[in-house]
Amino acid sequence: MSRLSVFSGAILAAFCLSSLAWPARGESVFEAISREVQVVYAQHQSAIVRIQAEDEHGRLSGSGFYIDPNGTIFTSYTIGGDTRNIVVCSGDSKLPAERLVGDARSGIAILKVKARTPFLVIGKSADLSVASPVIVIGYPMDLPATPTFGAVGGFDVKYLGRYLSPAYIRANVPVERGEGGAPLLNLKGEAVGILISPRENGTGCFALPIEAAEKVHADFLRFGEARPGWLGITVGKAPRDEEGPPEVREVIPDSPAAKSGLQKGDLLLGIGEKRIHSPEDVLDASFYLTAGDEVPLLVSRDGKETTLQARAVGIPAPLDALRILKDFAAHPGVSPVETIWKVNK
Amino acid sequence: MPPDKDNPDDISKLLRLKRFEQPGPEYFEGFLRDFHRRQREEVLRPLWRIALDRAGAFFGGDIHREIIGYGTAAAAAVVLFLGVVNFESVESGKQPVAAASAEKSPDTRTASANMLRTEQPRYVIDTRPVSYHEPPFSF
Repeated sequence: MSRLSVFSGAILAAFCLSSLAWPARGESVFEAISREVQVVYAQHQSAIVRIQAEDEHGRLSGSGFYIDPNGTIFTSYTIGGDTRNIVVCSGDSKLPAERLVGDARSGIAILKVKARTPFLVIGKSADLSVASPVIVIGYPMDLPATPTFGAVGGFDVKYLGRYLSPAYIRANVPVERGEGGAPLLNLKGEAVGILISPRENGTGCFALPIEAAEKVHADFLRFGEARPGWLGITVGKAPRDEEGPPEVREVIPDSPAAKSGLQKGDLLLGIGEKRIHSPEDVLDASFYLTAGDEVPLLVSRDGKETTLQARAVGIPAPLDALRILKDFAAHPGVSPVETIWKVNK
Repeated sequence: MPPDKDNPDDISKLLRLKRFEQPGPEYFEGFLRDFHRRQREEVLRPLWRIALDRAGAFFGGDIHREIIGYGTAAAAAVVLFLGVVNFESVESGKQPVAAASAEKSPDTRTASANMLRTEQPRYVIDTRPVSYHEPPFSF
């Protein structure tokens, strides 16, 4: 085969492939987007449900979606985490649901109905980038399932002075009450997030990455409950490079971090599969720790990178501070206030 | 070796550990729920309770509660007596007020029934994502 024919064939193939990305003849870009959204809505709307429940204030209503054919549902904690008499509504059917796990730390709940159900395929929020198109399909107010189209605005660990864990997907998708727990979908119809809250005036929203929900789900399947991990490290900005990886400020004695060999002054470069570029990245990475699991810690010490292995434990229960203070008061000469001040300054 | 409660260093270690332990978000959410519930209970006291407390404050203390209670009961008896007398006089010759009201606004009862049938649940979405960390970050 001559070089000319090969070259011509390659040019033709490239032209054909690129033409697929353009709207069909006579169709505008907006019509193409509309067609995509309609396809996703038509194919996946049956897997998205309205969820009604009761709490101490009365009845409430939100959204959720099936993640497998056995009736497992992801929704927000407000709707399914601490409520009773949960009913899943889809079309004309109303099914009672039981709560498998409610995790206030992440803001989601996992429910289950006894039925064979359509379901959404789980995607990867890590494949999203700024301006990636996304769709929310939920039940706003008392309206039927409604699609809303928008784009990813960013991935945030900080909002209005408060820090988020893990990093949330910020999407420029207008949402309304009743849509809490609805899925955030990519244009393939894969679930990449769970709608948690609106932003200012409901013109945008924050969605929990689907990987965070999967982490809670995996904990439930393994242990019957969410099981966040703890290492015993405090980090802050490195004095020499405040824009770079964080510095380890303190390692709790006898903690998993101490047993791994981590030292004060080390620069933290990675936790598990997550690379750390700033102190805020720690909030995202630490969410995925599981008590009992070993996790690699990539650190830089004296200019050299090294990997330490730490086995996370459960987050310690709060100590009885009152009991300690009473012990202090029983011993003259040891002022509890002075001791606490010395420890915490 | 168990920590020595007389040793300030051991106590310091315990307190340092305490710094890194904090209740989960459910503790604070539960606290806010209870706080708001108590606020509502305080604000939404029954009218009779508010009136009794104000009357007691006006007359200067708990000593007068019994007097106020007896007085209120007497006033209620008088009102009831007058109401019964009025009802009997209305029945003797005039058209019942209730029936007249119904004829004038036949839609009132229907409108109330419609309101009950269409009572809506709370359509929920969280106001903000779960957030509770403050720097420095501990994990």
